[in-house]
Amino acid sequence: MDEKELISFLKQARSVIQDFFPVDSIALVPVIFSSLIWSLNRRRAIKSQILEMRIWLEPETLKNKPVEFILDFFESIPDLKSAYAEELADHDLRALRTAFKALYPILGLENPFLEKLFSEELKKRDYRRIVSDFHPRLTQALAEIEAVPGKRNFWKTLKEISEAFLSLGWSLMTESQVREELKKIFDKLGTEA
Amino acid sequence: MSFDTNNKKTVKPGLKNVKSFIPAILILSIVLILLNGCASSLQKAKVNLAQGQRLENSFQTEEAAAFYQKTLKEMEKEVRKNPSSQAYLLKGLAEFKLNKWSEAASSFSLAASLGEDKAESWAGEVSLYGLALSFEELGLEQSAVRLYSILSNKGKFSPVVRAAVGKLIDFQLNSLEEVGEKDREKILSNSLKIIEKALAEEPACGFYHYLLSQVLSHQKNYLESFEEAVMARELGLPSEEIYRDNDNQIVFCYRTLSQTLPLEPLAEFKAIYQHWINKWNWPDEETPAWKGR
Repeated sequence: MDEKELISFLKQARSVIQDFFPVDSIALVPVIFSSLIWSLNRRRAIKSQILEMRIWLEPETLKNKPVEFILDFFESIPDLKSAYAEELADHDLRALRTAFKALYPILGLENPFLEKLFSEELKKRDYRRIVSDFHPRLTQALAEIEAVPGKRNFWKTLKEISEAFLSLGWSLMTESQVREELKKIFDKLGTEA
Repeated sequence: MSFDTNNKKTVKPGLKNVKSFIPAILILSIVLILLNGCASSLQKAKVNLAQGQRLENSFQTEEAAAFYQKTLKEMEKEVRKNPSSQAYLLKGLAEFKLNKWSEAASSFSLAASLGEDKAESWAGEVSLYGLALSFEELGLEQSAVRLYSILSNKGKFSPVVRAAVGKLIDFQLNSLEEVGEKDREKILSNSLKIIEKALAEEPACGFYHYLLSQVLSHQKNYLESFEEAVMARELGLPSEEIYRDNDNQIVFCYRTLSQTLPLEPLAEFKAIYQHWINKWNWPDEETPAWKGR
């Protein structure tokens, strides 16, 4: 796949979508990134997927997991295991449960919107920061999306961008390959901006 | 000649008769066309609804929603032109799929008033479910749980029953942290009963197998939990999140059983596990195909 083509496509997409958001919006890149990943899967309406996040884990998946599952989650990801070594050693289930609620959707279910919303912390492996900022940041991002002026056009534009993305031929690659490629290019665009 | 004349004479009244029938034939044709149009409109709506359900089952919810919208528009036109119980029933089903609770309830009520027997109970169930969701949003959990319990016990409309059973189980599991061992066992066996009852009605519902797998995991019954999760995956699940969560459950069971099963049953389990992950194209035992890292 042509990287140059993708860079110019993402630049265009960002310039179109940023008109809907305030300057320095934290929701802009997560919205574009997750829309492209979800369009690739063609599994969910982008709008309902984003709006459902307000009650993440509550509508359909069972949010109450057994202790053993939570411990296994922390122990099976090496970075998490070392970040929460103290809580794991002390068997501090209260702290682990709280952290699990924020980290499982990102690291366990790989939700692309949340992944991009906390991309800086993920890069730095600052998992505690994700946990402490999870609710306020998610609430802020969703409030920005809710406040978008001309909402009808916004969802329509987002859908058009996702369709244009698929027409570039990215649907032929696997989700994880596209994720990695998009992350790389978003990082490049971030340093350019 | 006379023959001809006679013939003409006998033909003329015939023609007159045919002419007098023309308006009736025209009206009959229009009625037939209208009836045909009506039937085909209902038929089209049924096909669109079925198509939507098929797409929803394969997680293509955006496309599924488009088919439900199409059904709804078609039936909105239909009930204006020719209100019938079937048209209101289809309209209600499309509205339900699009999460328009109160509209769906009112369409089912109208279908019931026009003679569709099952629609009456559906209307009540959809209203109750909408009410339970509102209670939950307002923080009135106990009232919501009571309604979910009624729906899971007495409900007849399977989409509402499924959603209510899911909600009820999650509420039950939520209380596990605050209770002692004895009560814990009671809550878990009660949860199992609720799901088993639902499964008896709908044995091929992937979502119920997912719920069963989760509850069995709380009971530390990992082998059965694994089997139920595999069944859930094979039968299909209603959303991407559940699908991924279910895969994580499969991996968790694999890791736990690898550490706890004796050698012989472990070898048997691993052979079965390998069979499934080959079928699902997983790169290895602990990495589902969608997993990026």
